[in-house]
Amino acid sequence: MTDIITYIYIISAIGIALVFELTLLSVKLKSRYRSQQTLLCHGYIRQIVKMLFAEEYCEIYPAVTTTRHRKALAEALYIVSSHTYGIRTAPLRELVEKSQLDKFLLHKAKHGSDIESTHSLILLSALPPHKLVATQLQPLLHSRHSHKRIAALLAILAVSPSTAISTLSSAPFLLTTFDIARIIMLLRRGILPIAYEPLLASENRNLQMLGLAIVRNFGIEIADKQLQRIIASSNDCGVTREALYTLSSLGRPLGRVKIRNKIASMPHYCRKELCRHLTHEGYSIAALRTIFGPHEIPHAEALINSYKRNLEAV
Amino acid sequence: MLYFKYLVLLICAVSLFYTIVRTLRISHAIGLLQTLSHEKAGCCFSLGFVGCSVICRHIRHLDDIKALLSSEYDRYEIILIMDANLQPELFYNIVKQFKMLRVTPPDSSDLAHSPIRLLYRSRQRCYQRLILLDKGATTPYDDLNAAATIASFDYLLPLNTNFTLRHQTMEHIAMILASHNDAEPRIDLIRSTADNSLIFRHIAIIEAGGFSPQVIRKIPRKNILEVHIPLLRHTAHNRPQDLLTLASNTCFAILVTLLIAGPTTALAPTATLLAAGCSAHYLTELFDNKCSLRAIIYQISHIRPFFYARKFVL
Repeated sequence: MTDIITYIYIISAIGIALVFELTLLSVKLKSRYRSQQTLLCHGYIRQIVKMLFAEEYCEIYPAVTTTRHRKALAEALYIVSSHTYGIRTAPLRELVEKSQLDKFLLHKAKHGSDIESTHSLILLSALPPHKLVATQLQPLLHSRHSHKRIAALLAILAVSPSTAISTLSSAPFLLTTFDIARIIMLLRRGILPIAYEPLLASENRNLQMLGLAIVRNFGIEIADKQLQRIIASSNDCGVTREALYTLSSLGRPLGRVKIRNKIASMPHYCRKELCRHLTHEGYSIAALRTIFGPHEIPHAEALINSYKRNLEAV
Repeated sequence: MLYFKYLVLLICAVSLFYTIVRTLRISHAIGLLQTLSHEKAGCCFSLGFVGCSVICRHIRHLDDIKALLSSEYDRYEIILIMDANLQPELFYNIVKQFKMLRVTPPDSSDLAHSPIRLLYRSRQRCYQRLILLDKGATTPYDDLNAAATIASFDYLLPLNTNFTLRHQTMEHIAMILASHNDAEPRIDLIRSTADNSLIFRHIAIIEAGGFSPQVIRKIPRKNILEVHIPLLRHTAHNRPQDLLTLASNTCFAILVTLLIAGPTTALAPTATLLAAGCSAHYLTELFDNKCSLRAIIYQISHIRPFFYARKFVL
């Protein structure tokens, strides 16, 4: 009996070893296929760029007839739209319609594996505004796979930028810093409006976090007062922390009573990390003394001094 | 005898199961990373306040430092620890090559360590993230504590001998850290199952009283995040003692099984080793697109079923 089990085990182990080797072989074949796809994609990119310069639609070669061509074209459009802004999208929209790229990507997003679906949604978010209705993508917002639902959110934002605020506020999950950075990418491409005020004024966490990211990324110094209001009034530790860090990235003073009180109420480790961050941001020791207690200062002071030239060495 | 046979089979089966799970997890993580590669490149600039200090001991060449500084992610720094008395020529060359400025070493610290003799910060625009620290050679943990004292960022990545950062490691670390909400438990330690690399939270090190062999034990399990992407590259696969240890351990285990339980049962660990070798071959090709016997053996040594070492060894 033991011998039979042993033989079964040995055969299984050898089978698994074989599966690994076969998978490796398929990965190598796929990489060869991928390099051919890359060549095809580069060809499409050249033609799309020419089309954008001419500002009118023209046929592209090879004609988009198969899945392979559609994949390459979607990649090409993604690369072009990631590296440009303010382009005339009319020729691209015509290209998408004629090649039925939107339907193709939507089908893959709905029926593919998690990774495939995420990839399709990312490509979909880079297409010029198309006729797809955002409602078709709504169910994907409830996916268990976090990257998939974020990709779906990005695609919805790209499809209907006018409803961005309501889409974000009704998102059934909390956005992480990485998710927000991806939304900022859409913003940089000019797809979404940079209206930070309603975002900061909102009570919704996702909107507030996006507003803070916009202020930080675009260095909007006039948002100073709104940031102070958020720090003083917000009960969410994450939002308060983000607002404090954003205010410090703008180089604004943090010594006001309400801000000081808020910092004092933060957990010890958050205060320590904030102190180190402010040191790195270039705040003076005098500024730090107004914010932190005397027992928290010595290390910050030593660190600040370590940025100063040692005159004994000259 | 029978119980011994069952025990051998059980150990082999568990090892094989873990090997399969690990391989699937790593290949899935790499697949996801490839999907997000375009997004990651575009949004790293917007990730905000996620930063990491890389602590490097045993520098041998200037080229090693240039390789470490090649990342485009801006919120990271490299801290080099050297004993200028032991390597005066290399120390002088680093100061000269990177146009480093001598600054005042910190005189107080949250962590206990032997005194820092000299501290240099690079001032050239492209090398502004380099810090050189001269202190007497004591223990590796003492070196890390000294480096942690002057580290500016919230996460510390100690680089062991013969290891360097992989392409875009910093971006991957930033992405991992930025993908977590504040609502989730604090991340004090990130551990890569692919290469056993460790990234510590600065504050966790302070709370644990500094780097020591027991530092991992002092971090609660809920605050440890396991990731499945490789972060570090092993620069010298030809460490004969590692290969010798692995080969002798394996041969010893097979020989003991052969002597006690007979040739049929001894085939079970051999088949398990074959499967582990094929898994390592597959993963090595997936990471680097090139493979060698030494790389495979190195990869096998990272397969640790059930639990990871709770001892932080340098």
